[in-house]
Amino acid sequence: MINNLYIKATPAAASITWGSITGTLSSQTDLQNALDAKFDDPTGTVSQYVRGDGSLANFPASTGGGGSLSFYLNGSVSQGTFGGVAFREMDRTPIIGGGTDFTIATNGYIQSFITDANVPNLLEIPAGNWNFETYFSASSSGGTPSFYIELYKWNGTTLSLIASNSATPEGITNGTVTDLYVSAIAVPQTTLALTDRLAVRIYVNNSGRTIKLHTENSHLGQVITTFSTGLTALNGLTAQVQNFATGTTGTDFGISSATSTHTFNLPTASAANRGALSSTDWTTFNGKQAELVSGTNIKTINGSSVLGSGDLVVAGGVTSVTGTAPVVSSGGATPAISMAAATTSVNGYLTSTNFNTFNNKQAALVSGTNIKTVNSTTLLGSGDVAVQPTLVSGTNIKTINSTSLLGSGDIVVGGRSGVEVYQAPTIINTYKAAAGTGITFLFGSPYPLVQTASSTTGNIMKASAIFQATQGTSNTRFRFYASPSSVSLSGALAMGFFDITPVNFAAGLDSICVEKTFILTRNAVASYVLMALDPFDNSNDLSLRTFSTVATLNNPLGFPYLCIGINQSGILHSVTVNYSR
Amino acid sequence: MNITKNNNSFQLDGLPMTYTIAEGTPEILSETQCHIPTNFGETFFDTSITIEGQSFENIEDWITELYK
Repeated sequence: MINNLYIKATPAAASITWGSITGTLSSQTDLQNALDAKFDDPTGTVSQYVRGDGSLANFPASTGGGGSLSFYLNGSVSQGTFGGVAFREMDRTPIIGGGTDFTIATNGYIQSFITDANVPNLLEIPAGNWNFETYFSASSSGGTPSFYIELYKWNGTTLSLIASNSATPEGITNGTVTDLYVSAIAVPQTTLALTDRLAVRIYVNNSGRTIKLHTENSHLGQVITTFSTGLTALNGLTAQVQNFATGTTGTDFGISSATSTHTFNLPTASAANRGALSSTDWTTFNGKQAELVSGTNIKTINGSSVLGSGDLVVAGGVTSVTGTAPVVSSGGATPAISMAAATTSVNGYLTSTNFNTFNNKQAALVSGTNIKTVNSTTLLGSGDVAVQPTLVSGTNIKTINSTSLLGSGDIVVGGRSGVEVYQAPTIINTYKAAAGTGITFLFGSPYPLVQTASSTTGNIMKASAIFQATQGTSNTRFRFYASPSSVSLSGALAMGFFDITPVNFAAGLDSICVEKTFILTRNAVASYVLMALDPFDNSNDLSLRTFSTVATLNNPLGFPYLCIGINQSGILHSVTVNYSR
Repeated sequence: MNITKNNNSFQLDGLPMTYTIAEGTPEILSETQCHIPTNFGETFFDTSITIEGQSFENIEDWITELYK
């Protein structure tokens, strides 16, 4: 019997030490230290695992289920010729029959294989390694025979090379022994059409020997691809990598699958759409009246619930309805309420006919806006606006010598005679200026003195004026004009003039006045002749004065105003016109 | 006022008559006034009247322009 003995293993010494155990268990500190040095409770996470050396490591990320899709080289099945090349079958189902071998005694393609139509029926080749397991044997050992493999796709018209390991051919090294040779091709991600087929061509460098490729039976040639054997089609999509998306199109929940994406469409619920309840509608619905519970959140009437269908007879309600004019009630609890149409003597409702009548009446008149004024006087208000009625010649406006006064133009009125004296006896105009400054306008008759050129009798005008001049060294000349204007001499006809000369002043006189008379009459050739009376005629026969013709007016109506001018200082005292026209 | 000339005749603004320049010699009344022989007789004009819109300072230039 052995008591109190222990075995101590010391790593540094790599030897076993025997000793004795004394004391209690807590006294075995060396054993406790050794245990503390061992693997402790794991401190990792659920996504980790403990490696063999005790370290923690993460579980690898999931990359999808399923293994790789494999094709088998079925040498006994001919697929026909594609792009000038005869192909055998490459299919997912191997042929286990008697086996089919192919030989070649030169360098070249020993055999080519192609999938059936619409195989693999995928849209893409995932990038990765394709492994090829093929069985070869040679007619003799030695040499350096080898092979390499080319991967193609056939789109119906053309063979397109996808990848090849021709740069790194695999040696056929086991001589006459039929042996398995594994080679690989790095295949890039390649887009496929669903109708594309995949093809493999195997090229042999024979190195002077006859090389045999074994297929089928116990020498299954296998192509291990990067296609997945997991999900092959989902909702009609055959893309190897497929995605989910969400949307709101449509009128009901539905899944739309296109290319490699499955879109879950959940429309917003509406009167036309079955779908998700929007937060807005939720708020609306949530805000609606809660379920009515009679007596709880809706009152009763006389102890009766108002919920439900039918009529609620309420005793003690309305028993009689009356109306106040013009509203008329037939009385009772269910009266007929009526109102008569308003007329000149009845109050009531306004009929549509009367409404249209009133509506079509004149809007309120605003003077100057929708009603004109008369001579700036408003027509609104009471009273009378005196407006001269339309003048009707002979009716409310007289005629002159049977000629209407209406219209434009001038009316020649003959048969008048009289005397018109202007400013007599006061001074009409006084002009003082130096000699030689020309003619200054002194006087113009206020109205035309000649008003007709048609008469051969009458039409005589005598104009007399009193002039005053102061003695000087030169003549004071008064000029008479027949002018188109009563205020200007421009364009006026010079009819005549007379001078008061220094010799006219008697000794001792420094100022004299002279009355000068002009007579305008008609001559035998239908012109007007202006004649002047010489005030300084010294004839003793005062009964007959000498008149001299000073001017002839061929167009007296164009020059009807008598105007007088003066050439230097002088005074015009008065002008007297005697006329008959 | 303004004179509008037309060959040997002219018109004054606002007047219905057409003055025809007649034979004879203009009578200069002052540096600014004259009598021009016309078909109506000796007619008074001064330099306040423009000719075809042109103004004149003395009557001799005015007469020259009228007879031009």
